[in-house]
Amino acid sequence: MIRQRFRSLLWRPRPEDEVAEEVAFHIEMRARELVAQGLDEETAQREARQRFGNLNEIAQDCRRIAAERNRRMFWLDWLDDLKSDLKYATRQLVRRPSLTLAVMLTLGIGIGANTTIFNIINGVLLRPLPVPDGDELVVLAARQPEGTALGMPVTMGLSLSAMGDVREATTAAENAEDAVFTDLAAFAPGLVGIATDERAEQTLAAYVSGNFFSLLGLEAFHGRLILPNEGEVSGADPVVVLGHTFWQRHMAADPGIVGQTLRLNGSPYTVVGVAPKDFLGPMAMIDMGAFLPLAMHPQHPELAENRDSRQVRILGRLAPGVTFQEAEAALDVVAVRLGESHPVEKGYGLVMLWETLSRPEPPVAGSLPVSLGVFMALVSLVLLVACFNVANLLLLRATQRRSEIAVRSAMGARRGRLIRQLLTESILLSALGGVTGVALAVAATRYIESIPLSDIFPVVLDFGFDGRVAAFVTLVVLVVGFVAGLLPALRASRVDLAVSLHEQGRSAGGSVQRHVLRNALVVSQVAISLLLLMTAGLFVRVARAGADIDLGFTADGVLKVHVDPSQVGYDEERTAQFFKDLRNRAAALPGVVAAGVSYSPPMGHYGNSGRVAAEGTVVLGQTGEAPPADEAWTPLFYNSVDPHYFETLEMPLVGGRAFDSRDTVDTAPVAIVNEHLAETLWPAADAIGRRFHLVGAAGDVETLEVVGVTKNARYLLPYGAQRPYLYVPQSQQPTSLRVLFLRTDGPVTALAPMARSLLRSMEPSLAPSGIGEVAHYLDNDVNGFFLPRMGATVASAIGILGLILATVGLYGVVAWTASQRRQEIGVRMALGANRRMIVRMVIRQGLVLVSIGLGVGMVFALGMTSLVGSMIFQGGNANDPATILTVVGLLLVAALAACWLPARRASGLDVTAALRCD
Amino acid sequence: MAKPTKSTKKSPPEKNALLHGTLDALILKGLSRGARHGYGIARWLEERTDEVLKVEEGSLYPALYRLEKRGWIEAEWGRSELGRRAKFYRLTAVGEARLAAEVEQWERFSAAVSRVLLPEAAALEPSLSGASS
Repeated sequence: MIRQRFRSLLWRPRPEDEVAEEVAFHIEMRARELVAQGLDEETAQREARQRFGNLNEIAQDCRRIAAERNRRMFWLDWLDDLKSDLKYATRQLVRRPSLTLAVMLTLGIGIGANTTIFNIINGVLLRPLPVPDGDELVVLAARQPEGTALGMPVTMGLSLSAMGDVREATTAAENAEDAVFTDLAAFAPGLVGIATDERAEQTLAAYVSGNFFSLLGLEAFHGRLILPNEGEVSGADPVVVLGHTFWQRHMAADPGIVGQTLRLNGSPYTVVGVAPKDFLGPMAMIDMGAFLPLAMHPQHPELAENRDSRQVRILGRLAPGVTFQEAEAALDVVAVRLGESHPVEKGYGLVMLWETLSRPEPPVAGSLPVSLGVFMALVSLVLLVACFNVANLLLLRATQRRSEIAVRSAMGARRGRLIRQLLTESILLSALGGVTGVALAVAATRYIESIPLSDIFPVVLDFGFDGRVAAFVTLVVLVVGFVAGLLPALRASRVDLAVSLHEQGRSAGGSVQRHVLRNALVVSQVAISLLLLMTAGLFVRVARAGADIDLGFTADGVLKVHVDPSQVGYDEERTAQFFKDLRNRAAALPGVVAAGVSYSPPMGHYGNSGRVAAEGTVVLGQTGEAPPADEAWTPLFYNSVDPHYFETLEMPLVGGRAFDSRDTVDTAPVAIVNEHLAETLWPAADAIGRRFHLVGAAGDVETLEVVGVTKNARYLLPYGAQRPYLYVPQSQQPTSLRVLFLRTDGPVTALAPMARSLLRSMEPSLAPSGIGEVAHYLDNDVNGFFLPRMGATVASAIGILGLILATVGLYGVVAWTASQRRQEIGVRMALGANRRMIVRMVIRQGLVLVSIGLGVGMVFALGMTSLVGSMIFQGGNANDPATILTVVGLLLVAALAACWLPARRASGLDVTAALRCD
Repeated sequence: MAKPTKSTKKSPPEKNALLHGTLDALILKGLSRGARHGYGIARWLEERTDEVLKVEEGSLYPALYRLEKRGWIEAEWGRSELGRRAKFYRLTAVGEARLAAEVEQWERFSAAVSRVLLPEAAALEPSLSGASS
């Protein structure tokens, strides 16, 4: 086989020479024959040429075909080689099942971890929304002027007015000159109650502009979608398109629902259609239960008029042929023009993000790529350790196969062919690891998908494998095959023929160089393992720090229930009475020691935002209108609470009083501020009794009087700097959605059913949501401790995987070296060395490698932790001795175990056998 | 193979009267007894056809290259009878199968044509097919 291939390679001259020589031969032979028949030389030559025909044309044809033939042959040979290489490689792998299995598992773990993380990155950040040409979608938001940002410079979206201006100036839909967008559409998410049977199902809905679905290019699953002329006039179009999942879950997938009327937030809406199957909604991974015209949004008049409320999210589609940069440049121009014509837009910029990169929301876009990138880096290190293990195994085998390879190269196999043969083997191994890895990744992905991420938002994690993941796995398999196989292949193929054949295939001691290489691989493994464990330690410390954080309230023993009576049509007055009754009756439940109500819960995913300024520091307009936001204003979040909120959550007041029955719609507006805000507004004086202006989310201005000051607490996220915060009484600023908090001295789990049945007895059609213990919620919510806990878990798992792989690698090298030193050990024992000395000798050899690895790894690990740690701990010391000691201790124990086994075996050597062995 | 060509003898062919694709079959046949160089094939063709089929000699070569590209024949450089370097062609396994198929196809074709043109020769048909297999 090999001989034949080589002939075809070696005996293939260039087509030109080949054809010329062949033709010349033909003509010469013909002429010779003609001469033999009696023609003279010259006539014979002429006659021969003539009989041949058009020489140039024929030669040209032949050259062309020959070139084609050569190309074809090349690929045929290549395939042929591959086939025989694969056959050979398979035989090799089958012949050593334990080695094959070990490599499969090792690489499987590495590739599996990488595939899992990439799969998540793919699902979260790379896969566009499932709409036609989803990769053209962009999201627009505003960049706030310096100093007015709530810690986050980019807003959720734009105001409807600003969106209208931008749309007019930049979209083809509005016939703008040099349009950079096909169109822009707006949407705003909101919780609604949809009455199914007797009960109202609470669901997240998207209020969308009329062009929303046509911009996305979607078709209804049943009926129709929201039409372009719907959603212009407040309250004018009570129609609803049901989300596909909601329709299946709550409407039994009944197509007959289209055309019927159902009650949404207590008002009649006509179901006009069902959204397409795979389209969850405009926010990736959030399953919207319904789509409504934007004009049906409860706050639509304010949304439409108030330029200061940048709450409407904007989706756009780039016009054909327009680049991202061109669109950005066009937006910059529009932003400047907006600032010139509207004072409240002054200083604001327009931000454009690819929809995929805007996730989860524009203000926090960029955090996901960073954190997922960190984990991707960690798992690639695990894969590197796995590769080194396999490289070491293959190096070892290369030594055993020296004679075989020598024979092959003596038979004429060139080095390139040998390397290719060996690489085919390692890539085949890697492919087996890839298969194992994908199986592991499927399991891991399933598990991750099953983790609930939020108790009020319908987050759907679907990391289904797609072409991008398949491409990733293929790439990883090839790279791993090369990384793990190249060094061994280079080594193995560089055979000194004479020596190897002479040795008759005895695998006597590798060269010093081979030792160095194998040892270097183990040192790197230990170093990487240390780096991974130190990183895990850092994540664990972050998670631990979370547990020690003073939240400013007590989350244990408190049950929370979200209720929104507007979902069954309650008006403001009825809602107020309902919550008053609910609280009083809940407070009387057995085991309940306190009951309070607020608009948003701590670390909830929603809240009021606005800005404040102490009275006298800003000048209001003549009609009490607020001037545009500038440095004089303090942006903040605030909450609307009842008089019992503070005692129920055990939030201590440091001055003044809580709200009480004195605070009514008819009395002066009051507020309770936290210490941070009190200090910000009145640095030199007591805040109680002072007045300040509050510009709410709707743009309205109020002047409130401070009646109390609370201790600082954690409101939105458990981490980060302390923020200003304030409370207003529900009696003066009511909300329809409220959270009931019940503190109990008994088990919270026993309280939940009681709360449920109390609610049912008061309003059977009302569906509560988010029922659970506040502490449990904080532990499991993305806004609580979920992410650091998850980070610690994942990083630890990665660290442990790295440790296991590195330990296996160390074991392999120590065991191999010990077996190579059998004779030496035999001699030593014959000369009187006892078993303990031998054990010590072998272990010492392993520990030298480990120590070097620890030293190298520590340099990198300390650099990494001080870099990452300084970001997380903000000035705190990232390198704590406890973590370092634990990690180094763990590694040393594992290393000792890895050396102990081969050492024991070496010391149990049968001396005579060892010496006889050649 | 040789016999059917005789039927064309009665009316001497024009220069390129060779039916399309027939040259390929002839070349394959020419190589069925062993390797030959291009000139050898040309000579063999002349002898076997009594120079009836006047193939323009050069047109043999593009056909040879095509057959080689298709993998029906393979080439190797060797020494000619006179010691000159020459390119020898030889049938591959695929080529042998191809030749058998071509022969069968020709039999069916020529028998059909014969039935039409030479009704009196139809009785000979069985012996025709017997002769060429």
